[in-house]
Amino acid sequence: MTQSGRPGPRVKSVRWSAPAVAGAVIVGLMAVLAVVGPMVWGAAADRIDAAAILQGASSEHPLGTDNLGRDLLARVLVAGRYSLLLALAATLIGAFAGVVLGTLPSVLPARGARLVTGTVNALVAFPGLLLAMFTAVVAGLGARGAVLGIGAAIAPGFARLTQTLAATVAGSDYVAAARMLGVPRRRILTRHVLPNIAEPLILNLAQSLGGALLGLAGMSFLGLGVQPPDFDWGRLLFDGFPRIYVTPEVALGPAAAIALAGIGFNLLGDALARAAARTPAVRRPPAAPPGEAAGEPDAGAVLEVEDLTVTFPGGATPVRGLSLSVAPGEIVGLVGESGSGKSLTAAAIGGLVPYPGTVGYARLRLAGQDVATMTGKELGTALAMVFQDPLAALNPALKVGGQLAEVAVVHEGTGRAEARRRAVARLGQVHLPDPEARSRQHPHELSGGMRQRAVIAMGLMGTPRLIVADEPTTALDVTVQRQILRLLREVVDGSGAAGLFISHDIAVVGELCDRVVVMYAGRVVEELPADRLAEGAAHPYTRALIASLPDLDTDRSRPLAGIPGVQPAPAQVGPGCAFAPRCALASERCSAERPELVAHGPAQRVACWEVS
Amino acid sequence: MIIRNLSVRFGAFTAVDDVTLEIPDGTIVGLVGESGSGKSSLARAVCGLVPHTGAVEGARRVQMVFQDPYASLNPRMTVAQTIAEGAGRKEVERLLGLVQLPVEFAGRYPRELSGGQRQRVAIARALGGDPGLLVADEITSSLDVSVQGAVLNLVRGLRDELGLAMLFISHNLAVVRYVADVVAVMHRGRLVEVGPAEQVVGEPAHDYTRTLLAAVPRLKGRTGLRE
Repeated sequence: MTQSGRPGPRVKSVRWSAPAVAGAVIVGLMAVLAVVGPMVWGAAADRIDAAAILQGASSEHPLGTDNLGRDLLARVLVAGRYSLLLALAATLIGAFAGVVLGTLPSVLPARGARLVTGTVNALVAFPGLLLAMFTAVVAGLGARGAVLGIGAAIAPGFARLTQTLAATVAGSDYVAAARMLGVPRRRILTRHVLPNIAEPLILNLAQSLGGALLGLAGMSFLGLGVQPPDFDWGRLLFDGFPRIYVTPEVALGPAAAIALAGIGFNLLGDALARAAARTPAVRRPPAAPPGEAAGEPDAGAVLEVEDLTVTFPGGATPVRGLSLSVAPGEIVGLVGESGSGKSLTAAAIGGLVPYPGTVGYARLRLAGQDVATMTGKELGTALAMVFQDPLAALNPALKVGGQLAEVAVVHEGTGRAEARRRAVARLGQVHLPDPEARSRQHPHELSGGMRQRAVIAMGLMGTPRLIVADEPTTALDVTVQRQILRLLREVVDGSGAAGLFISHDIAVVGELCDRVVVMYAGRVVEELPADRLAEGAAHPYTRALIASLPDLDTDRSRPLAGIPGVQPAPAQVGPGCAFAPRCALASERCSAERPELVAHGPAQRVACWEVS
Repeated sequence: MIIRNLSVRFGAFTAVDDVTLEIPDGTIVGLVGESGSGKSSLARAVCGLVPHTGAVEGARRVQMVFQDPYASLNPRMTVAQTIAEGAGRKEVERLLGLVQLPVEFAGRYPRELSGGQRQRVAIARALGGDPGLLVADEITSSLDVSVQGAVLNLVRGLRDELGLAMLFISHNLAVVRYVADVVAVMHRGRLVEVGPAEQVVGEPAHDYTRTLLAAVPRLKGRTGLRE
């Protein structure tokens, strides 16, 4: 999250899939046809030939001729411009009306806003084509009526989309701030709301164009649209349709043109929407760092990690050569600022590093077994993970008890009734009040603390050897935080499992954990027993973290110590100590040569030239 | 300024129940309580963002700084445009100086800034509205500790420099104790204790305050959290 300096220019590489290419080519051809069609084939389309009335396909007239002997292929090619222009006009009318209707509730007083919203809701429920025909009949037969009709049919959808998007932006903090600064409503709309919803609206425009084209063709086909002597594709289809059993090509020509254009616009619209939604994908997965021969395994440890590295394409290495071990009944705290690699370490242990990251290690063993050789089932029961947002870890549609029971059913093949009984027992074990009743509730009915308890109970459904908790209390109040920390301690003590607790809050880590591992820019910079944290921390970064945290004894007359500068991004770590640029003790050696983690008194290790 | 008999009701639920609280100029009043205690509703009512009964007297204008600096800045507006919305173009440079950001930041977009820098921009925007009262709602709880310290120092500096009255809301008593002159403890919509910061922390009068104090994580005298 922290960023140093100004990022370089963003190059958004759009990868073209086959449908996207096809869509772009078709739309491009349609545009060319619209420009040159009438110039090239205009004369041929209007040439009346009494000798060639109502003919079928021939070498001279590939699509046949109409009742005045005019060449139908030329007419189809010429009609492209008119058809596309009408579709464009209808889409723009619909989009404009829709955006106005959709944004009105944001600027009108409450009663007016409700009226507009209600009207839009009613119109959305009304069948589009019926709305189009109704408008067209009222507005008068012909191209104008058809365009207005299709515009009217498109408008409610646009209005609803605009309204939904605008409501999201209108509820944001920056709009609240603007209101407090006295910025007028109209200006809030033009400066804050519209720019932030423009992108999805424009995407919708491209897709609507295809729909408008088909809709207009439909209107003309029904005789409600373009009237002779004008003609669009729909009109040509209408004229050719009575002859479809005798000379089908006269109807199939315009039909194919309509279908092709409709497909083109929809493919392109889809591709644009997908490109906008997609986070830039990265290619070229790098070779994983080779795992070196590891030393002697530590028989007593539940979790052994040696030389763990997480790499992302492009040279970013958020976790570099990390080693740690956790003994049964022990809780090890992993602490560092955002971007230090602590959460990715947890993800690597659980096999959850997001694509396209790659994990390399000399050893990564859980309960004596290499995690790479463990099946999903084995890992699922031996490892329990608790995350910051319990709501994201629970399925909102399922009842809490059922979700917990599922774990036992899937991993251990337990029967439904037995699994349910165990789920209720586990919910009781994490001190959820009235577990029987709570197990029949949905996650949204529980408070944040209760949900986190439920997630911990879910981890206890198996027989976890390791409990990894990644910022499990960051979203909770101090009072609830304390309860959850107590619970984690109790669970670890009771089950003999090992605990890995990850947090940015060194005070929380210090209070709960037995040992603390401090990470900076992807590496461990210090490792020490938690009870030595207050007095015995050696690394300048650890000391700075502690000093910058106010506690109940902090001297209020002095400014809080801060850490100047920012942590380097994973791709920008130099050869020396990553903390050197922010360190008061840094010497020339620090920025040139990286200090290794070395013993510093009993049970403590530090990576620093100046203190070791 | 003074908040007098302020209540906020959502249907049958009373989020803030008849709160009276004085915030003199040049004073930071810290408001603590757990989520659901009504402290954010009180803040929003003071800012006029939710309907309420009661009065906010003596404050010319109230401005607010929000919790999440990633959601409180318009991503399509530069730092200068954001700050200028309340203050006008000419004031941008002075306000950036007040929150200790370099002038070069004026042309940048929020995505180019770190969390701490964004929060400074949000503070500058609020100061641009010439507030008689600044409401800060959990403004450091989404920041790293190293950044939190700098923002807390800035807040105290602004009080001294501008004689600002501030309502500083947090669930962390250690943070509130450090930054505030007066601490008000809120529980279930009511103020249960108000007093000088050192006194509330040193000799808490209310049980709920003691519960909050006991929950503050501390490095000294750690217990490992065993019962």
